[in-house]
Amino acid sequence: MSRCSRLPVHRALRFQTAIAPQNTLKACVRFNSTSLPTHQEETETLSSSASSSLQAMESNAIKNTPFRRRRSLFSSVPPPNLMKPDPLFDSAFSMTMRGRRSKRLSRVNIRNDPSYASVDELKEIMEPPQKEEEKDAMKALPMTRDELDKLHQYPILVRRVTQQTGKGKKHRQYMLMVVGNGDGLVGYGEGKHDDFGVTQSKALIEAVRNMDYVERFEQRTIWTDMSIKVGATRILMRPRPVGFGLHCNPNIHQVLKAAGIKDISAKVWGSRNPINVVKATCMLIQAGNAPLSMGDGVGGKGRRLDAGSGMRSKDSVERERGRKLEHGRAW
Amino acid sequence: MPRPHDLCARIQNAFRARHQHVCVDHTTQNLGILSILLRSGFLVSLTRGTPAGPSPEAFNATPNPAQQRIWAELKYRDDRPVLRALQLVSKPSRRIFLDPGEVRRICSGRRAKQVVPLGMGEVAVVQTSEKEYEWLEAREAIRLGLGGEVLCRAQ
Repeated sequence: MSRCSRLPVHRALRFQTAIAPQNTLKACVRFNSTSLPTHQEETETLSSSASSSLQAMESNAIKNTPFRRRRSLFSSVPPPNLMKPDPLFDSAFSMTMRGRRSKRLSRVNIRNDPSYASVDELKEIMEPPQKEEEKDAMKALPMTRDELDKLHQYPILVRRVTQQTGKGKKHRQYMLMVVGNGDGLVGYGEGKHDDFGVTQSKALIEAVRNMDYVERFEQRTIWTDMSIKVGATRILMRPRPVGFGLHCNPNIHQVLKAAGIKDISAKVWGSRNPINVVKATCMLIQAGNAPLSMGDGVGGKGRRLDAGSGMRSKDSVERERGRKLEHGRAW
Repeated sequence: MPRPHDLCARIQNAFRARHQHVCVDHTTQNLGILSILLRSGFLVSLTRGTPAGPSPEAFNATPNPAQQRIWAELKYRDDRPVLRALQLVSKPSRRIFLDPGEVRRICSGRRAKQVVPLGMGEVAVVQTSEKEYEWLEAREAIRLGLGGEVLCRAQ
């Protein structure tokens, strides 16, 4: 190892040569010019000039200078501008992985730590800005103004929610909305934002995106007695004759009215929390899981709210068994 | 005959594990209940056999009742089992006997003696005291005007 190689600048130069030819041009350019250029200038010259010719020039320059002179060459090099992020030295490379049966992610930092990126410019490079979700219902949904207005839109719950941060309390408005077309489609959505109008839009957008079909007997009631238990909320629903009406919990009433069910008798035991009642009702009446895609048949784990097989119509039961279900007959 | 708890457990577990066949003891009660499930459309087929496998020839060659088995082929559709649950109704701790009127009530959607009415597509097995018609489906029992012990319900 020569004496020059002990100099930190020279070692850096050699490292740079191996990995990023462009960065080595800084020292080379400075050596040739009489006045020391600023950092901006040299980056400009970097981009304009061909790298191969300058690389050759640089190696020649070092070779042709006498040994004792090389130290002075590099001492005339101004120190790097630490305020400007270097894409090579300041970038972070980390991998996040999850073991097959672990619930938590592990992060391995190969180079630097992403938290070092306190510089805004570097943040742009390392964490590209996430797409901001559309807040306007008209733009986000593929429906016309008229179609949106025709939908049943029932706000179930509106409240102020607070997040305690290091800088104090962050208040936002929350809304749970149930949306349906009154003829078999129903869904619920939640929205949270500082501004109430935006909260409403978000909830509406999510609810419309979550709409799913509901099987009905004679387009007015459910097929059979059904019950479900979601957390502490237990619901039992029974079909009822024509003209009976919706004799049920007010939150269930909104969901079923949006769905287009007209006759029902329902009872809620345990917790009557509106959010859980709405979620449980939707789980009960909607199609539910798709066994082929549950539990990472692509799509991630099976989610609790996707569980259950929902309501089946008489046709699907008949097709399953290969028998007609006639009144007074089992086969 | 003892309650069909063993049959219910084996059939439910086999369906959940997505087995093709399930093997149960060869008894008249099992034959009766499985025939009702077959007629109702929950099973593909019933075959007599031995612990080795379904085979009427092997069954005929085995005089020992302990080596005789019934093999039921299970039915699936859209990656789901056709039989969701097979539950006992009458238990040793609490026996349930229904007369013909009460059997008609549970088939019509009304409760009888703490028995939840049969939903859409639900089937109940009734054991009567008639030797000719010992194990019947609930609606068959109504047609014949018979009542008895409600053994299990299938859906």
